[in-house]
Amino acid sequence: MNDTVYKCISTGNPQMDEILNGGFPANSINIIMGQPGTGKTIFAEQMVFHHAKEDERPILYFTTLSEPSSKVLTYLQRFSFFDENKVGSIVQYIEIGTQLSKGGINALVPIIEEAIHTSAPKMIVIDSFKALHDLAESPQEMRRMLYELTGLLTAFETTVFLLGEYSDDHAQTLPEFAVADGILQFLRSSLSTRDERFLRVLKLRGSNYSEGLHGCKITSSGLDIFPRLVTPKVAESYDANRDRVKSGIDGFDTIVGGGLLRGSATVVAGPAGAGKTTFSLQFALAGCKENERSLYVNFQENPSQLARLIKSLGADLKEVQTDGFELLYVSPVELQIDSIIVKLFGLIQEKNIKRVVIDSISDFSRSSSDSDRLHDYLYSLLQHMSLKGVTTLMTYETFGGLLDDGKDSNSISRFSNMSDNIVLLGLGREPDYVRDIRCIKARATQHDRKAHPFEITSNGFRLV
Amino acid sequence: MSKTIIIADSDYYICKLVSRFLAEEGYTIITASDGYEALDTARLTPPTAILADILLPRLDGFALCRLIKSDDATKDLVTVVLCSTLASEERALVAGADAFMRKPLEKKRLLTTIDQATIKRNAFA
Repeated sequence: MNDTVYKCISTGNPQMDEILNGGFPANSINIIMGQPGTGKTIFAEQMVFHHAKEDERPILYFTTLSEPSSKVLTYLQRFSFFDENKVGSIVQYIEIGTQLSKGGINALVPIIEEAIHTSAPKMIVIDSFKALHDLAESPQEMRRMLYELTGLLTAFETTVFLLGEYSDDHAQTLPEFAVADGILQFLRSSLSTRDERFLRVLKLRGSNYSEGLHGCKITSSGLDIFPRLVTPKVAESYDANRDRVKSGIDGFDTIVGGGLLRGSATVVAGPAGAGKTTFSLQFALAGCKENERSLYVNFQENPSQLARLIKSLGADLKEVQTDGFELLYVSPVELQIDSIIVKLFGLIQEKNIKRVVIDSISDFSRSSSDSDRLHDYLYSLLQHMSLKGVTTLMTYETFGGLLDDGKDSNSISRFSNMSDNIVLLGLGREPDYVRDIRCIKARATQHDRKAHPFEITSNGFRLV
Repeated sequence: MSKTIIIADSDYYICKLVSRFLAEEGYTIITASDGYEALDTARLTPPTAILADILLPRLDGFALCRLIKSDDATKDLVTVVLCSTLASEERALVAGADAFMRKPLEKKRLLTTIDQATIKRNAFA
């Protein structure tokens, strides 16, 4: 697809432009759809005020039968993108609800035509367009009006956004979806005590846009958008790295052929209290000793709890932070996988991180309403990290104890295909409760499959 | 002297929009819905300029341009081709158009294009 042929207009949001492969096609007709409260009006307004900075041709925002302009403006003031000086000059809010109520939907085309001649707008927003269906006397009348409106808007150089509380069913049946050049859908779903917001592009003519659900959240600066992580487009060929990194766990490296392969991903699984956090923390701290900056992504222990844990290993959080230990703590209550991934990638690049610990992917699982999406996300994440030569360790909490009968093996196998190594930690059984560690998988490595007893001492995790 | 422009386009809204834009600037507008109608009108009533869409029925915008430029009676007319693609812009110039204009249209850009095409044509006349 030749992207140079199409002139795009920016949405004013770099992440959204990335998803749209540059923005919306200039002079196109687009539908922004979503149920109330999903963020579609905020998105549209953010785009409007971004374009208002240019002080060129005006932007016309028509409100139909939904909210009056004054109400829209009242709430808009809370956002940092809002610029009151532009209202009335570059950004013109025009209420046409009364005209439509009196004249029916056929009043719309003359209104828009007159506005084109008097204002020559570079952008037109009609909010809500779906409300016009309530005024149409028949589907045929709506279709005829839409045909005329499309003819008018296609002839004139302007980019149009039709907003509406459309559902998936509407997208399959209503005629405006057939004539739209672009369709952007906003969604919201409940997960435990909080809501998750997503958006997706359903259609964008002539564009190689990024498909799928992209996370987003509403902030005081508008909409923060987190493009979906995808597997690296081109499998960058790279030399198979035989370099091994030291785990920092006394006795462990001999089990896995002398250390973990650089750029590999390891799952450390075990029940609560088995020592997963101690193991992974030691791995991260060992990186600092090897001049490899480490990022510890933690969803359970807050920074002061983690500082205590580090102290129990004979180190000091502030000191190790000066040696290249980075901490990213996110409360599991506020955990949104999309935003975490964006932060994580930002830190890896900014700080030149070489070791990453995610403690734990079980928390990630609980943060996502879609386990398949989470799985795809983690797979893509690990592919990116592998290409960057980042060695990753992820903890995974098993339930019911890690016994020889393979209980919980189904859960672990979900992560097996994406991980190079799987290490199981056991709490031990009666009468001695001797803890043990077992490496059940190590790609490209002649590894020791036996269970080895280990202990956690004041110096940390060590095999005995 | 009255300035006359022929707008040849089968798109109702393009004709309507251009007619109103140019009428506001004092032009007299004649519309034609196909290429032969535009050619016949231009021979009978030579206009200041012809705006022709590339996708005209019966005789497309490129062929219309070639015929206008090959006829002594019409060769000095200002011709502007309305295009939808990059490739058609090149083809318009090859066909002898004085200018091309990408659809959709906007008044200021339309007037500038006609003015510049007129200056260019007068320089070659």
